[in-house]
Formats: sequence, C-alpha cells, structure tokens
Amino acid sequence: MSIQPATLLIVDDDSVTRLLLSKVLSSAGYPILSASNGREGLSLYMQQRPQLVLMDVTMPVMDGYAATRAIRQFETEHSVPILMLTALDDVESIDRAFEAGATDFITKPIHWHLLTQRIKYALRAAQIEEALWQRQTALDFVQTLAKLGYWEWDVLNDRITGSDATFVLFDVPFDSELNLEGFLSRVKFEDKPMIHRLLSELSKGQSQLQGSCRVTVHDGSTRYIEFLGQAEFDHQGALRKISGSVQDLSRLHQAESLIAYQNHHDALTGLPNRNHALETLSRHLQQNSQSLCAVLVLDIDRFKQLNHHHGQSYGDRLLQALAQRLKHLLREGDYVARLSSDEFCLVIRNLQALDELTSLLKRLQTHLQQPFILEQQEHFLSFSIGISLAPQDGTQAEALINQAHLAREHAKQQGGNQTWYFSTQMNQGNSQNLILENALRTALKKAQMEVYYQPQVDAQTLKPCGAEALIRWHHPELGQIPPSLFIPLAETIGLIGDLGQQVMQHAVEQANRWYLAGFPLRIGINLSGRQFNQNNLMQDLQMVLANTELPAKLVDLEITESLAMSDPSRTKQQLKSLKALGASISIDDFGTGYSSLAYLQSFPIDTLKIDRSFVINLQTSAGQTIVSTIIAMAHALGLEVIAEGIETQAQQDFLQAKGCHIFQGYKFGKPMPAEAFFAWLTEREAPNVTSPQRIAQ
Amino acid sequence: MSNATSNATSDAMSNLSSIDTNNLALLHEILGDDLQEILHAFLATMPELIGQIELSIQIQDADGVQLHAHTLKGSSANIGASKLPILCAALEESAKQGVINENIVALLPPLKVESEQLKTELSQFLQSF
Repeated sequence: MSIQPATLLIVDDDSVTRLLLSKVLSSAGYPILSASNGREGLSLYMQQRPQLVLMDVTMPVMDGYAATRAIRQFETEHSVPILMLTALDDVESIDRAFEAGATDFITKPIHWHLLTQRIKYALRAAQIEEALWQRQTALDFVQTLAKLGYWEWDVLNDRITGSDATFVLFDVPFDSELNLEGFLSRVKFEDKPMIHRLLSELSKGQSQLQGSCRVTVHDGSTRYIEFLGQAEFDHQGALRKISGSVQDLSRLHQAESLIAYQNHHDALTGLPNRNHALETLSRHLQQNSQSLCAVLVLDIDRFKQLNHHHGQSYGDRLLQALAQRLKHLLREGDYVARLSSDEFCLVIRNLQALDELTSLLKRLQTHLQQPFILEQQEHFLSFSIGISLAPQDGTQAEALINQAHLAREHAKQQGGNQTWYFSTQMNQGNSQNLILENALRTALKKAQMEVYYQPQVDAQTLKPCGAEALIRWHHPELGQIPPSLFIPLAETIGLIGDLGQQVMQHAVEQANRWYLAGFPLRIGINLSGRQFNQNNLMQDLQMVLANTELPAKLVDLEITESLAMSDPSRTKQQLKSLKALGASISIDDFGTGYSSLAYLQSFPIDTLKIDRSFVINLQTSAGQTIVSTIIAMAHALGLEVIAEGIETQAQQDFLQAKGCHIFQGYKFGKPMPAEAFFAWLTEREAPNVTSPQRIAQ
Repeated sequence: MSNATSNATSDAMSNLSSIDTNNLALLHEILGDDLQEILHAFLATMPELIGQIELSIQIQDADGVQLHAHTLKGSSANIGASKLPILCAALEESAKQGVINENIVALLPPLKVESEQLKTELSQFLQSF
C-alpha cells in the first residue's frame, strides 16, 4: 500500500460544486486536480495520471460519458476508479455511466459525510485489483519465458481450459467448447495412443500423469512437449478432473538429423531453402566462373494482406501452388528455392545471351498472370521481381542474392507488379537518402514544411464543408519535394512521429481559427502507417485538441485502406481509442486495397474516400460500375462518401446522381496555403456566427 | 415534474425554508471557515446563472435553459438549498422538450423570488461566522 495519499481528479463544469468537492476532499488529505469540462479533464488525466476521478455527467465540451470512455480507452492496463456524479432519480444516466465504464456513481446532492468514505473504499478496491493484476501479469510473463502453460480437463463435460500459452504450444485456438480430442488435434498421430494409455491408467486410480508428445505446428515444424498432471476423483472414485502443466522442450530435442533436415528443406513447398540455394549457387559459380547466370528473386505483392483475409492455410496453399508452377516453368539445369515466407529465388544457369533471359521472363510473366485456383475460386496475383547477373554484378552467391533482393525491393517500392534489374545506384540510393535525410531533419527543425488545404464541398449545395490537410515541402535548393519521397524516408528514420505531429497540430489549429471565425469546417488529416501504429497517437491528438475549442468531430483522421487491413484487430483497437476522443475516421484510397467487408463493418468509421483513380475512369462503363458499387455499399453500411480528384462537370454530375456526399478535386479548388484557402472560403460563403459561439460557451 | 405548473410547484413548497440547515451545518463541520468562501462563490454565480437562463428564454434557446438550470440545480443542491433545486429541475425537464413553452416562462418569476430568499438566508447564515 502506498503511503502517499492518492491524487483525485474532479471534473465538473459547475464552479461551486468543483470548489466544494476540492475543499472537502483536500481537507480529508487528498491532493486535488480539477477541470471544468471533459476535454480539460482528459488532458489532465493523461498528464498527471490521478488515482481516482470524480466525473460530472452534463458538461458543455465533452460530456462525462465521453470523457470516461476516452480515459478507459487511454488507460488499458490499469483500471482507475471513475465515480460519476449523477442525480439521484436519474436511472438512465446511471445506466449510461456504467456502459461508459464508470466504476461507481455518487448521487447529487452529495452526502458530504459519506463522500470521503466512498472514495476511501473505491481507492482500496482499486489497489487490490491493481495488485492482483500485477501478480497475474508477472506470472504470465514468467510462464511465457519458461514456455510453460497450465491446463485443466473437466472429465465429466469433456472440456479443456488453460492458459494462453498452453493453446499456443498445442497450436489450437482457444475455444470454450474445446474437448480433449480437439485439443490434441495437432499431436502427432503416433503419439496419441500413448496419451490415451496414460489417461486410462489415471481412470484406474493412479493420480499422477507424466509424459511427452510431439505437435505438428501449422508452419510444418515439430514441437516437443512435456506434460505433467494431477488427477482429482469424486467420492465414488471416478475421475473428475485433471489439472497440470505443459512445457515446450523443443530446443532440447533438436537432434543432429533434425537440424540437417530442416537446414536444407522447406517443409511446406518441398523446395530447397535459402541455405541450399546459397550452397548450390556458390558451387555453380565456382565451377562456371565465366558463364552468364541470372539470379531472380520474386515475391507476391501484398501477400501479408492476402494471408490476413483468407487465413494462413490459404496462404500456405497458394505458396504450394506457386512452387509447383515455378518448378514446371524452369528449363533443365535451372533451379528454384524458397528463401523466406513468400520469397522465391530462381537461378538461371548457363545463359548464352541476355535475350534468352528476356524470353524466359516473358514466359514467366505469362504463366504467373494466369489465375491461381483455390477452393474453386480464381485468384489473380501480381509479383515483384528483382534480377542480378553473374559475372557482371558479382561472383559471390550471397552478394548476388542480396542484389536481386534489393532490386526486388525496388520493384515493390515502385508499386509492385514489375521487374527490375539490379543496378549499382540501388546501393547508392543510400547516400542520396542521406542527403535527403539531413535536409529533412533541418526542414523539421526550421519548420520548412507547410500545410496546404484542399477544399471539400457539399455534393448537393456545392458549399464549402471541409478541407484535407496536405503537407508540402519546398526545399530552398532542391525545390518542391513530393510527399511520396519524404514520407517513407521519415518513416524509416523515425521522424514520422514529429512530422505527423507537426501536421496534425498545424491543421487542427488552422481548423480552429476557421471555426472561431464562423466556418465549422471538417479538417481531414492523413495518418501514415507508423504514425497510426504509435501508442501515443491518442494522447497526441488529445493534447492538440485541448488547446482549441474545435469540436473533435470536425477532425477527420484518414488512414488508407491497405493500412487499415494490414492488421485489422489492431486497427479496430486504435480506431476505437481515436473515436473515444470524438474524432471522425475516414478510409482513404478506398477501392485500391483488399477490404474484408466483415472487418470494414466492424471498424468504427464514418467515411469512405473513393480513390481518384476511379473518378478518372468514370468515362468508361466499368469505371462507372465500380464507383456506383462503392457508393451503394457505403450507403448500405451507413457511411458517408467523399470522391477525390473531381475535375469535370461530367464526373460531378455522375457522382451527384449516385448520392455521393462530398466532393474534392481541382474542379472546386487545388490544395492551397491557409491564407489562400480563407480567401477562397469567404468568396463562397458568409460565416455562420451563431454556431461556434453556442458551442464555445 | 415536467407537467407541474409553476404555481403548483411553488405553492407546495411555500412552507419550506430555503435551506436545509442540517446539511449546511454538516458542511460547516467538515470545512470550517472555508465554507464562507464557497458560499460567497455561490452567491456570485447564482445571479449569473439566472441571468443566463433568462437570456436563453428570451432568445428561444431551450438547450441553454436546460444546461444552465442543470448547473444551478447541482450547485444549489450541493450547498444545501432545498427549494431552488426543485424549481431548477422543473425548468430543466420542461426545456428537454426542445422549445421554450409557457411552462418555462412561468417558472422564471418564482425562480427569481426563491433565489432572493435563498440569498437572504445564506447571508444570515454567513453572519454567524
């Protein structure tokens, strides 16, 4: 128990009640923080981490429910007690308080003699819960380190329960309905009779269980597991329950032969692996040092997303099919291996001339463009291919594979679905990056970056309704540097946090100025992958919002579809926390990635942004069909639609007829600096002076 | 409460004192002389809030009436006022309909009368310090 008294945060918009609470509770010895609305309260919470929160319900800027939800989203690892101040007879608000995550409620008018007691109790309960949680976390951690799990088999109901580690070790997903047979489904066939024999010995009265078995893991590897158990019997002597532990002993079992086997063999596709490829290529290069030889490294574009959508086993079957196809394609004497997950390496030996390679590449492309058929469905894939050549690029196996890999990376960076030959500039790419990197650091320090704003208009009235914030970098010597160049660089060198923060701050402050001038515009802010995955994103946004009067719903955070789908469960979690602050969420570049509708529906999003490429294609009937489908789908999901890249009247007419909600594009305005934007704005609309003042009270 | 007319509400309360003295005495016990500061703060904000309510009624802003009546209800109840919170609750309930109706307009005069009464009683109490 801590000796220091707990700090309490009081959030109430009524100054008299706030003062009363502060006085009463500080006279009881608690240090007090106080805030006059939910937004202020949330900021104080994030900065000071008080041990208990007293929260009023009705407040003008962010009410008590929203602030409570936001604190719960922010503080996922501790459960700080939040006591809600509600009117005695208001059952509905008491219910809503619990739904929002309040620990308890205190009725108004406050019973002053009971208040300190209630707080003392709530703090003690929280301390006990915290201690319990810490012990549980420590225990989980130790068990994870030791690769140790516990399990329990309820014999009567044939149900297996246990720690997460147990299910990971046995490679079965946890399911409350799991029975013994399901639990053992990954155990090697040969080992099952032994387990059943041990169990039947238990039912004959033996109380201890000890044994080991092998589990075939989904990646094809074998896991060695030792298990211990203790049986419990009922009064009649019948077996009731077994509980025990399991431990992963694979490392002890890595016998010489196993190592040799795994060293050269890829269990999934049956192809040689990276080690084998290196040895084979080395040998070949030594024996044929002057002959022309090509090394191709190839991988599937967006394989990770495909795996996410269709599941691991789909990905596995796809790789097997691809391996088969590659094997068939090659001439005698050529060689194919699987280097890593979806990366394959082809070695084309003894080429007479380069055009021989060109025709082989053509053949390769034609064959790989054919659909892969899995579960009676056609799947079209695209590939990124990198090529290095011996002897001109090098004569060392490892270097050649690395060069081909670098070229493959390059092909991927250019958008995938293409083939690149290795060139020495790819190595030099690093030094060019260095120049750009230094320039970028300076630019950030000197705030050379500028935020431009592209207008968005209401599709029906064509009146301004929002803007997308777009970063522009004008370097004094290098000129205009496109975001597509410096954003990925900022991500790799860890500057994206600062950069994103700067843009967010500029954009929100700008939107706030417009808002206070009577233009409640929604500001769209793009989040990059790294930025979106940062843990303190929620806090960053809150800190920026806290210094403004801008309603949070006027901040629209945009993430691309492919980013949203790259880790859907994490996306959902992160979006929920941003949503808890009240922000709006858009899916950007919609239609260009692979979306799972089920996931899309589960994300707390407000808007889909149709990618400009679809709008450009509206002159074709196929393009029209795609856009109509996206809009219809958005309507069905209750989402708002923004179309980007509108340039012509025809595009506008079509999108208007289909019920698109918001337009963005050169037809309405280019991205422009804040001052120009304001001029554009005032030309089109008079400020609405009543609305901000009303909310800003 | 929303259907109660202002007359019925104020008639039923006419025999009550404006302050629950037990509650106030308890606060005095807990806070000692600090209570003075709080009561002064209340006496300063009460007219402001009533002014806001009156203004909101004038400009037909039911949301404003609801918000300010709610605030006054809470702060007056917390310092031990007994009648004012009930009048505020009636106002708040009526305003939830979203329009300024005659119920709301009729509640304003008794609210002002009661606030004057409360002010007198609190001032007397303050002299006991």
